[in-house]
Formats: sequence, structure tokens, C-alpha cells
Amino acid sequence: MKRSKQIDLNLMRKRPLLSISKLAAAIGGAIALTGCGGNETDAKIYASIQDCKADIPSEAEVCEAAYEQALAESERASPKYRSANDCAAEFGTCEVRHGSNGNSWFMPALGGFMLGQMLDGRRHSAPVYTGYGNLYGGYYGADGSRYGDFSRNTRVKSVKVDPKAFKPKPRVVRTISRGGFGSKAAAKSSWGGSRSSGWGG
Amino acid sequence: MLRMPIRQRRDWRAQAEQYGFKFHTMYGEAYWDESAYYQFTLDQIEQGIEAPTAEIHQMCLAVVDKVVRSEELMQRFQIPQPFWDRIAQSWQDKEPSLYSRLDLAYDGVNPAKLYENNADTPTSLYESGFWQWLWLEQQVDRGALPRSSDQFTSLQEKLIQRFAALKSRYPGQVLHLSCCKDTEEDFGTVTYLQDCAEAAGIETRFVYIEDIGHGEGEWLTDLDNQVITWLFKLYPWEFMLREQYAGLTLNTGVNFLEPIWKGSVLSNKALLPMLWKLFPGHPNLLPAFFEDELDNVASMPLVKKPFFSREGANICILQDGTAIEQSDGPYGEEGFIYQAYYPLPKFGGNYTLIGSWLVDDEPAGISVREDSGLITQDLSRCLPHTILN
Repeated sequence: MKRSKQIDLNLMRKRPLLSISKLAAAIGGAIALTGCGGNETDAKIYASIQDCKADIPSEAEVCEAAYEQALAESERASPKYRSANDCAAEFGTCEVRHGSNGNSWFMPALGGFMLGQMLDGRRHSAPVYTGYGNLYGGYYGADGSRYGDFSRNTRVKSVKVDPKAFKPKPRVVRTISRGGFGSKAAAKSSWGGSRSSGWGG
Repeated sequence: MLRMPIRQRRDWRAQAEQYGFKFHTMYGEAYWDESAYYQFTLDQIEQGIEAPTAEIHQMCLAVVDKVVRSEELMQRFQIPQPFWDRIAQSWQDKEPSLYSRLDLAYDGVNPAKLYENNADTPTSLYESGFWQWLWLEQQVDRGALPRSSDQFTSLQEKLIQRFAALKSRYPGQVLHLSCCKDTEEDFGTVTYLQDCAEAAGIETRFVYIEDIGHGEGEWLTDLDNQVITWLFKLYPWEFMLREQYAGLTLNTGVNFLEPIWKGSVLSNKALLPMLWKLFPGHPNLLPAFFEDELDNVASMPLVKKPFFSREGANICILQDGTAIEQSDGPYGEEGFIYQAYYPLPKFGGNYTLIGSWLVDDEPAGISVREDSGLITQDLSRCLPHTILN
């Protein structure tokens, strides 16, 4: 056979058939209801190393390593803002960073760190931030996921999270400019009026 | 190789809607045309197209190997000097490729002749890999074609396998996919590749070419300021290397599909005279020349093509130095090459061009395009095909 043996037509459909879409809605609802039971894992959020050590005194070095790891991941993956105000509006307390060529940007201060045990038995940690403004009252991850409620007195918080929460997040940096690609295409397309078929060939 | 009329599927437009195939009609003209199909023998497919496709690809790689070692050739290929080292390195590191389309003139009898290699940004992938495959399944199921009909379209299967291999090379990486805004056809191609990548278990994100940012630390970023480390771009390398962010492509932390060696050398019409120099007289090649070599060329009809051009733009057919047919376009500022004139075969008033696909270096199917003129352009029509012995 010189052709693909099979192709999953459901994967290829962009607009489901009516009957399937109703079915999908029903299934979707069921998934949403049972979603909490799935493969979530227990984790604890600590506001500081001290709170961690007080909670698990026999594992003080785990607390320190987890904090260091969360701090490093925060530098890499936390949201980055051009202005202090934009950052503060979402996370309250923010820190400034300076780049190589005189640029600077703002990122939320670490609001704590989350420590969890995976199925493989290993401990994993992730940075968490405390929300402000519209986000007030929650603990958030670097990608904006909400992990649980936060109040001023919270020092140790038990949560259930998707194990993905401990996966390293994509790296986020401050964007200096946009639009540096596309000018050649724009110049060529103005030659022939509007063009809808694109730059492939 | 026969052109056979056939009844269209009554509901194909409704199905196109359902499957998200939006560019079956462009500029108010039919692009997908299933009022006929081309019927090949297995021998025509395997000996006439598939084997030459694999061989031409290997010859093209031999050209790359020569060009990246020579400053003089990099110059001749109009590659900006700051990128020479990066391109040589990319080739040396065997940065992996995804797919290409060779355009062939083939009449079913004589050896297929290479017109050009679309190695950087080939489109018509969706209609070749999926849409014509679906057409065959349904025409067989409906009894309009015999059960023993086959088709040369293993594109989708091979693309998913290729993505799975790339996934193990870049474990855990997010693949960004990108094309220009307001291009239905390009967006369709990119969406198809995104589907294939996800079927292979790769996490993907989409960003328009125009929205890509310059991030602190010489990175490319998406609209969420996420660093782009792996980018499929349906956007020509020859444009990227001449734009504001060209320097950011030197960041070796970013993996591009297609890689820079492929986009800069293979998808460049200078490839054609180089192929003729390295493999003179090869049955699947047409004689081709750089402009400064024309004095030594015996008088023959020639086709003048820009180094960089797409969709048949700025092509000129010359007979004794006089243009007998030509197309307009915005290309040509980097210069031209000349290729021996070899007209497309004609089937019932249509000029027929074969697009022969490769996934990495494996032949993976064909698409058939027809145009009413000798130069296949973006108004040409795409027809399905079958293999029947």
C-alpha cells in the first residue's frame, strides 16, 4: 500500500458533526465533575523556609533545597513585566531585574514554594506567588494556575494539584520589541494588492 | 498516466467545511477540482517518480555539502555573509529537516525532470496528505472506483513518525508553529502540521510571524513572552535573513524547522545550475546555468527564474532571447538563473505538474496540479490521483 494505512478522522474534524457535538458536551460535563478525582497529587505550600522546617523538622535540608529550586525556577519562568505598576497590579510585591543592555523589567516576589511527592517517590518543588487586585486571595504558579486559597495568616497550606504543576514551565523573558519579522512579506504583498494565499509555494 | 473524468462527491463542500479545509476555492476560482483524477500504474509511481525523487534529494544534499564549504558559492547563492558560519554549522550538526516538495515535469513515459525544489516553505500539504486520501477512501466506498485502487500518499503517516523522532531529539520541548497573518492557505498548512505534531505527542503553540518578539537575552518570544526554543516557520529563510530580527536566528538555543541549511541552499534556484554542474546529463535534471555562463551555452530555449520566487512568479520563457511567455511578480532583485525549457505535458488542454513529497529523505506521496498556462501559478487547480494496475 502506497498510502497512509489509516487516519483518525475524529482528529481531523475541526467542526464536529451535530450528534457528536452533543455527545461531546455531555462527556465534557462529566469530566468536569469528576476532574478533581483524577491523578492529582498532595502537596504543601510553605510561605518560608522556616515554616517548612517547622512542619517537617527531620527534613530541614529538603526545605532548603526546595526553596532554592523554586527561586531558580521563578527567575526563569515567572511572569515578566515592563512596568512596576503592571506587575504590582497582579502580584502586589514585585522585584526589579536589570538586563545586559540597560533594560529592566519586573517580576513578582516569591510568595512561597510548593513541595510535593511524586509517584516516583522524589520530592519536587515549584514557585508560588500570592495574588493581588483581581487575583487577591489565591496562590498562583508561574503559568498563572491557581493552586489554592491564601490569607495573610497562611503559613502552611495543604493542596491537591495536577502533577504537571511541578513540571518546569517554559522560560519567560521580557520582550523588548515585536514585529521584526514579516516586513519582506508585507513589501512583496503590497506589490500585487491583497493576497490571501500566503508565502508557501 | 491517464486523466479520467469522475463524478464529484455530492457532499464534498459540506465535508470540507467540517474538516476545516477552507481554501478549496481561492480568488473566486476552484482550487480543489475532483471532476477528474489522474490514474497511474504502480510502475510509473515507483520507477517514474518515487525512485527519482529519493535520488534527486540525495543529489541536492551533495550540493549543500559543497556550498557550505565554499565562501565563493555562499556568495553565488546570495546568502548574507553574517550567516555563512551558522549555515555551515547547521549542516555539520545535521540539524533535522521535516519535509519538502520537488516539482517534476512527468508524462508517464519519459524520465521525470526536476523543475525546482520547494524545501523551505512548501504548501498544498493538507490536500495532498489528507484531503485526496479521504477522496479515495470515499470514492472506493461508494463504488465509484475499484477496491484495488491505491494512491501515493503516505504523507500523514510519515509526518507523524517524523515528529515522533524529533520529539525524542528535543525531549520536553514546546514546538511553536508560525505563519503570516491573513493567509488562509498557509494557516491551513500550519494547522495540519500542528495536528500531526500533536498526534506524535508534542506540545504545541501557535504564534503569527508578525507577532514574534525579541526577548531579553537575544531570544525570540511569543505573545505570552515565552521563549521560543523550537520553531516551525512557514516563512522563507531568505526573508528572515534580511529582516530586523535576522541576528536573533544566530542564537543556537533555537531549533528551526526547516533548518537554516535547508532553507538557504535547497530552496534557492541557484541549486539548479549547481546540480547540473555536479551531475551533468543526469536523466532527471534539466540543463541549468548561472547568468555569467550563458555565453558558453549552445542556443536553446531557456526559462529565466529568480533566485528566490514563489508560486511561479517572475518566470520568463525565452526563445532566442525573446520572451514567449512570462509571469509578473515581486521577485528578482537578487538575480536570475536559466534552465533549459522543457514544457509540461498536456492532458486534455491542461498543463500538468507533479509535486513529489519527501518527509526528511523519504518519498511520501504526490500531488497533481493543473494550470491552463505553461507556468503553474497560484491559480492552478489541485486534482486527486489513483494507482491502478
